[in-house]
Amino acid sequence: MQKELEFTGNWFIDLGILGFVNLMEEVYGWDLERLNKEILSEKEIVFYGLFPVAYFKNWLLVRGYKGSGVEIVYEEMINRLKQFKAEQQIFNEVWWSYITSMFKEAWVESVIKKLLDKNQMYEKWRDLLETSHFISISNFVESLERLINSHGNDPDFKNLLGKKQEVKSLKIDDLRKIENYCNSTDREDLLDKDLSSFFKSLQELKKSLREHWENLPQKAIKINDKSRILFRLPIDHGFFKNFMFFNQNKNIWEQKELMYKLVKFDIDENSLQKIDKTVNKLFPSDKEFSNEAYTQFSTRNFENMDKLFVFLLCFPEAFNRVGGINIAFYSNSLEFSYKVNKRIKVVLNREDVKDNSILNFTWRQIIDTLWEYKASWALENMYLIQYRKLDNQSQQDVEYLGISKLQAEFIIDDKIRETLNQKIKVLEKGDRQYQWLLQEFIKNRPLLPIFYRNLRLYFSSKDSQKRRGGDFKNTNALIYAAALDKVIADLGIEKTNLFSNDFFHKSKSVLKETKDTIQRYFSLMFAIRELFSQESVDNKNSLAYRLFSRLKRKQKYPFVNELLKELNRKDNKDEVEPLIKHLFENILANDKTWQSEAIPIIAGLIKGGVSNEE
Amino acid sequence: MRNEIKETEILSKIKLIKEKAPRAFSGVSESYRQKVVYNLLNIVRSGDMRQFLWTLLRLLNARRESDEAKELVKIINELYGYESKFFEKWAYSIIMGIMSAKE
Repeated sequence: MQKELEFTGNWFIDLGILGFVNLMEEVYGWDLERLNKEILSEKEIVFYGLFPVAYFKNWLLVRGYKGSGVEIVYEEMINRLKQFKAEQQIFNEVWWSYITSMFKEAWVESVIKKLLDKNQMYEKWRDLLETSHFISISNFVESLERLINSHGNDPDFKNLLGKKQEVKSLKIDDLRKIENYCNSTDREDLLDKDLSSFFKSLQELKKSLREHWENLPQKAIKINDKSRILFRLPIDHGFFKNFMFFNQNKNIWEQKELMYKLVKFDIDENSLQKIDKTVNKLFPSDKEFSNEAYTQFSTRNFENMDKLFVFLLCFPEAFNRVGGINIAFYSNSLEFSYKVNKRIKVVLNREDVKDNSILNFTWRQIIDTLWEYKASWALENMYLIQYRKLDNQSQQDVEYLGISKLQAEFIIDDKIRETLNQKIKVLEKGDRQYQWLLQEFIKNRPLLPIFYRNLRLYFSSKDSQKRRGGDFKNTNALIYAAALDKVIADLGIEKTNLFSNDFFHKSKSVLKETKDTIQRYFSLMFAIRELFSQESVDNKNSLAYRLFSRLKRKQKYPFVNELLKELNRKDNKDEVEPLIKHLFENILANDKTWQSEAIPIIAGLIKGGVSNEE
Repeated sequence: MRNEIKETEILSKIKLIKEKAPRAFSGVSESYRQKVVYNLLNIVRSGDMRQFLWTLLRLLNARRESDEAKELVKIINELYGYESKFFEKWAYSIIMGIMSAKE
């Protein structure tokens, strides 16, 4: 089947495409396959009709305007749009019949908001509105002033609004409280006179404004520019601050033109000529980008992608928002990325997901999907992109996690993944914090430094009584971390075979090597435990601490010295000798990864619950 | 590059030391061996190369009838000329060798 939507290889655009798919699914319930089919047969309707409706509908839904305006029966809308052939006609139809009415309540609210703000001069609207509408506005403002002047200090009124101080102005929320109160009170005589007349004027104002919005002329009448902005879709966007129709100084007719140009990709339009910070906060701005050769990062390079800005506009929709973090999974196949993200979304909606378990859930979904598509997964390069906040002021916690083939190979192994899938308590700048091993591993960071801080916490536990009884809980993870660090570090050393055949088959043998290393470390740990089984817990802990502080400071020889002294006192030669062999081969003659090799020795000395490995 | 070759050469010599040492010190009583190891460990910890050699050669001199001991002296002689950065490595190799010697 021919596919209309395909990834391009540029991740900004690709996530935009993904966002577009998500948006259309959110509003129309079409999956990727259906969407592709619709685009193939009715491209104009999809982009000029369905997309704008979906985009603004979603904008309203995300901001909590449920059920505002007219509920749209989509099937009916689509059938109606099929009468039109020209792009402009389709667009005009959805704009005036659907989008405008969708925003009715939001617009009414935005006008009332302006009126509540006393600094706003409604007088200048006089020429803009029909007399009857203008009168309802001035009535409202009058009764508002009367209410506040006479009741600002009235305890009952303050109580109604849930305020303790004198009421000097009202907010939209306060109006809701007043409306609820007035609607629920049956006995009219109990209604305060000022309050009831205010309520009445509010109702009239709303009615009048609604009427006005419904009868907006489809072509702008010549009115001076400043005042026309009273009529605008009351939209803004933290991400696309002031971009195109989000600009606060554009009225509804301008907004319509801009949206049309954006879909049409009319690159003569100024804002559509360049791609920079305005479109995506992760791009540098034109000025910041000082390198001449790259500065003209212009849309002309993408001229053959005629829906570029539709996709760029959908960029934020690619992300799943959870616990204040926006997270998206990206690989080089649209289908695969779509499936994984859909899965993540379903799970995030279903389960009671806590902030610190997002990565756990996310990973489980990725891995499950990987399993189902096992044949193709190895070909993909996968990324997890997340941010906390992106606007024109700040970029907060933006992370672009590449999941290399190597790491993925390890993660797909159940045993390794389960072992790394845990939080380790560490001391960070004096605070106790938790670090997620799996996350650090995916970020391609060594794991042992986490355990150094974890062990420091363990050893520094002031309550020695508690320590004597307390087990070191993470022995398994510790051994795994040491082995993984070692194997990955060893890979880094062998640079010579980069272009050989070996390189491509390496990752398969690496997993086996890791398992062998883990096995070896466990036997070493048990050997040490056996050898020191007669010693007291305190002695062992003290030795472990001395060894650990040598290890932490990367003092290899003092570490060896300390350990040899202990071994020297042992009589059972048969047990000591293999340890000495290990010390010589893996620690003394090994400058690169000796710390990993030393970890099982320490692990054998500290008391901990450890399950026997297979 | 030259430096690297030198290093691998030295490493192979150090390995040789580790192999020879157990035989050079075989037949020594356990308590004596423990005492020697303890002394050598303390010396190497203080980083005193001369003191270490002095003690070690005195020990080997006492066992000069053994061919293995003579060979060991020869290797140590070759290594002695090199920079002291390898000192700890071969010093510990000898100690480990002594520790794995059979009674």
